[in-house]
Amino acid sequence: MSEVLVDVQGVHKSFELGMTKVRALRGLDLQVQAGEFTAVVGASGSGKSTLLNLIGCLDEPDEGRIVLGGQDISHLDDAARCKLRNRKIGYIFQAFNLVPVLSVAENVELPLLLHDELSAQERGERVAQALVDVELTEFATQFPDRLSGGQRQRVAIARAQVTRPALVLADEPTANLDSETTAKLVDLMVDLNQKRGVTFLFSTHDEKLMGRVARVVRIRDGKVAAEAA
Amino acid sequence: MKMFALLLRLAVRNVRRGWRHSIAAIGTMAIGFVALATFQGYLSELLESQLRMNFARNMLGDLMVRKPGAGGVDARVRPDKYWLDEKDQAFVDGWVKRHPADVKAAMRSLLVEGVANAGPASAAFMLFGHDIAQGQIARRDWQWYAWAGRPARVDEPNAVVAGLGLAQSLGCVPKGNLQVFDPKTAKPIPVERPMDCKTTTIQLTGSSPTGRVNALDGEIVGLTSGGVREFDQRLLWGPLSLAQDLVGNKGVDGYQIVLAEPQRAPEFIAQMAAEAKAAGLTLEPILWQETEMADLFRRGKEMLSMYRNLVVFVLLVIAGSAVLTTMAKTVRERTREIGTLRSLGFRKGHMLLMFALEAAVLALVSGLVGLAVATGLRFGVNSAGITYRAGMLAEDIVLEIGGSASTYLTGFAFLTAVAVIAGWLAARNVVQLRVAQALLGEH
Amino acid sequence: MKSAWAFAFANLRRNRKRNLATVAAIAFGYAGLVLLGGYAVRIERFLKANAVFIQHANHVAVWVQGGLDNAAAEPDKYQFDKAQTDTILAWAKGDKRVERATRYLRGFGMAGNACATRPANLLGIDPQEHAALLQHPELLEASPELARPAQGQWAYQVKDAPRGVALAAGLQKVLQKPKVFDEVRGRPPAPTVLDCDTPKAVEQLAADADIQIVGQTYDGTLNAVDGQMVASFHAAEPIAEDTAMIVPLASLQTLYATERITYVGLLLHDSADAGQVALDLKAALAAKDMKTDTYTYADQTWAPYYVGTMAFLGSMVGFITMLVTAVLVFTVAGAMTLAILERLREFGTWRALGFERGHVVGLLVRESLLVSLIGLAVGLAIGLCAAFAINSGGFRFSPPGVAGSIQLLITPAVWACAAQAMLLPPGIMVATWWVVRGQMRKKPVDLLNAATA
Repeated sequence: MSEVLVDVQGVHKSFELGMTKVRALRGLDLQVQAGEFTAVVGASGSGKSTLLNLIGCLDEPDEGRIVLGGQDISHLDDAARCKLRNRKIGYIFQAFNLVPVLSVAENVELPLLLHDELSAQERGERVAQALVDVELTEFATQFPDRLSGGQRQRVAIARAQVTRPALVLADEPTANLDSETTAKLVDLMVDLNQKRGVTFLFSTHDEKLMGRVARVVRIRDGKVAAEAA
Repeated sequence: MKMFALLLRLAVRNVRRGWRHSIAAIGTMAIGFVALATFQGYLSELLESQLRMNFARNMLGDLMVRKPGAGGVDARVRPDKYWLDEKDQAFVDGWVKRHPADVKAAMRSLLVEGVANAGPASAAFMLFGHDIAQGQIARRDWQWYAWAGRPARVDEPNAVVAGLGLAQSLGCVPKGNLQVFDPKTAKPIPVERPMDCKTTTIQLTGSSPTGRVNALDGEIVGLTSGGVREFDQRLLWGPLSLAQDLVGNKGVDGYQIVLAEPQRAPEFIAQMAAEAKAAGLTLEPILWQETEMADLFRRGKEMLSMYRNLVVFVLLVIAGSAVLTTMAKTVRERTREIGTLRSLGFRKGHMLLMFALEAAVLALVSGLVGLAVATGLRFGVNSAGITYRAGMLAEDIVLEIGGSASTYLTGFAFLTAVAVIAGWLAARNVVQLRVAQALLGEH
Repeated sequence: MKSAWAFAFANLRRNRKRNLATVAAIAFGYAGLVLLGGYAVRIERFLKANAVFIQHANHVAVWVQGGLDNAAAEPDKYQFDKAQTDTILAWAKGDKRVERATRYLRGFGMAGNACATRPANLLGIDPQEHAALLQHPELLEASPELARPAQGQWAYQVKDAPRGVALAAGLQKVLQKPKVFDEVRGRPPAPTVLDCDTPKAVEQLAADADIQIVGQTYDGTLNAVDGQMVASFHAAEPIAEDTAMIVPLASLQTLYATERITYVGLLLHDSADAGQVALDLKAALAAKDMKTDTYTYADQTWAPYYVGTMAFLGSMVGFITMLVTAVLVFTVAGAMTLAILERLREFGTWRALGFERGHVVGLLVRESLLVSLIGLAVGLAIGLCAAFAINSGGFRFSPPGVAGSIQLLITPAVWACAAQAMLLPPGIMVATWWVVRGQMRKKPVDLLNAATA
């Protein structure tokens, strides 16, 4: 049995929305094994994005604990969180979130610039490999506004895994794509998971994707409601 | 270094991408730069040209030698107490001889006040007696200083050149309307222009320190302008010997020494002071700018500097406000991008630096636009040959705008500093957002 | 469109931060202009008072034709005789625009203290006529310190000194007369013959305020008059500090053995009439076969320092005003650009509801005008408060060409503030119109889908 990579223990998280307090997570528990390909499913407002944000060190829980790779990440300082996000976690966003003034290759290279131990040549090699993996080598010098939605998301995937993270988080990565592109994208992520052993945890409300993932975690009202393999 | 290079690359590309939205800020800062460069260029050129003119027309040296207290009230009451006697003069002459390569001219001078008569007309005069040959060197490029007639020559012991105001009082005026000034050089054209005088021989009356009255004849050979109107009504340039004969004494007020390397004046001042002290003499080598003679120049400079500082202050504040507005919008629009970069591991400091660099690039672009406009304006104004009269001066000044690298660099530096501060101010709150919040584009 | 102004005002509250920043920029810039204009007005008033009352240019001056250039050399030929003087005075008395006329005699002489003599430029003026100038409300308002001597009292104030003279402070020092008449009244005079070389001579010279004035009559004879130094003053130009002297007109006429005067100065009820009065006077005198030159205080030839300095100052203030206005216009244009870009969807909605392009443009122009008016009002308040604070501070400074110092006063004038304020709103409105009209060319659907909103 593979080790537990992510261990979420009794996590609570609330937000102020105008005059109202919204409880997004209410004592959620979840474990993710290394190498898993897991989908987090739930209706809009169920807490999926909040969960991914907490695991991805983009936010802090109000209560509870999150352990990532044996390290408690619940209340780290900003420098430590930056380092974790850069080294151990890759993130894929629904809106792609590419930097419009950087080319495809430059966008993929972005997180590597914080790796002082890599030389320029080593960075170049990694970027080239990442682009090969997502089949975008010929688009290396193009800018994001010239690419289709599917191509942009593939760039985001390449960027997310170029640092060879332990965990890739994807927040509704296929929400802005058509069904054919969605299928291709999910196949790509599955391929990376199987070839490289990268743990994938992604959120979606698209039921059609359920058949393609190894594990499905359903979230309702801020808690895990059900799981299925 | 590579992080800085990346952030700079982002800054440059973002400015290029969003230049339309930044036009107003660029325009504001460019105007600010033009104002700074033009105003400073005008000021420095005006002061520089007045300084050059003062030096040349008044035969001022790079350093002066006189008695301590020579500029004070007591010296006006008893000027003879402050004259350099023969021993003092021998010391200074000896010092000059020991520095042949350093000294271009060492001109002695003696100021005598008295009354000039030409028939029934009489007027007060201030005779600036000086070594004629050395004085011509000290005049630098103002050697032809006669509006009418000609400059005095070395072999003319009684020749004087009178201020236009004084000469008029004595019945002597330029004849005809011949052009005096060369518009390009702003100096008199070196030709002898006619004078119309009731008589060119004037009687000069002065008195010795003991009260003995001496009267001598002077011969007006030329007319000149004293620069300042009230000075012009009393001015006489003449040979040192004439002034000494009027007071019956061989003393001089001091020396004006022109150096081969003017910037070494402070060094020579210290050296001469020490040597004089060792010789038991009380002499004061000094820069002209530190004496009461520079009072008008100094006050004019202070006044113009005050205007310049006011302009700079107001423009920088307004320009800063414009950049702040533009950067605030830019930061708001790219809140999600900030979240993305933070999610990749970039620190808050990196984000602040990115926006500060973007503001700096904006300032640089504005500065380049401003530089082009300022340069065009400068060439246009300088070619137009515009002249104007300012305050107490007797003649028109040519309107010129100078342009030096230091002026432009100062302008760039000011604008960049203001822009960077504005960029930092605009970004600091957004950068503090939780990453998740930033990713949603919320504030 | 109904209630457009109210709607525009309500919209200003939508982006408070940016509008506040814009208002602050306008306020700051305009406050600076108010202060600069107030300083220029102060300097103008001071220099004008200095020229008219202290340099004795008056509002209008009349000379024998060619006299300004030649009277010094040929006083007999280029100065008014008694009959001519009376003609001028009669004309001045009959013209309602003229407040008063003053006679002046200028000349040259030597001032002496029994041991030494120094050249002196002499101004002869009747003490009572001098009093009228020094007590004039215009002078007292502009710079009361100019009306007071540096030491002592003016001749008209010292009844028991009929030949009271005033010396420029530098001449006073050179002649070693530290005390004025009031301070030595009643003391015995110095011995007639002094041994000037002894240290005691300085003490003896300082014991009285007697001055001898030596000069040449117009027919070439040497003459002398005595005077008592009742006051010392700072000359209008620093270079005259060693030579200027004010002498009773009668004394100077006695010295030169003449009844002539050099020029007549006219003070007017309204200085704006100076140009016309000068022309009318010249014509009236020409009709009586008197060839004259008339000058006003605004003539470069007659009041060069005032005219030259004001031209320079005016250019400086004008240049700075244009600069600041241009910068402010760009600033507001920038703020409006950003505001417009953020509200494109809103404009698309209006257009979808039937509003025309002109309605939208008009609304935004109104908003920018309101921002600029509010900024101007705040700026005026800040400027006036700052002026009050500066004026209360009693700061002094020495402008070039003025002996001594004057108080730094900021006197904003309504016309100057209004002129500066009038430049800004049109520029801002034009800039706003330019920015918004470009966006309004888009189709409503493009506005509704705008990405920048």
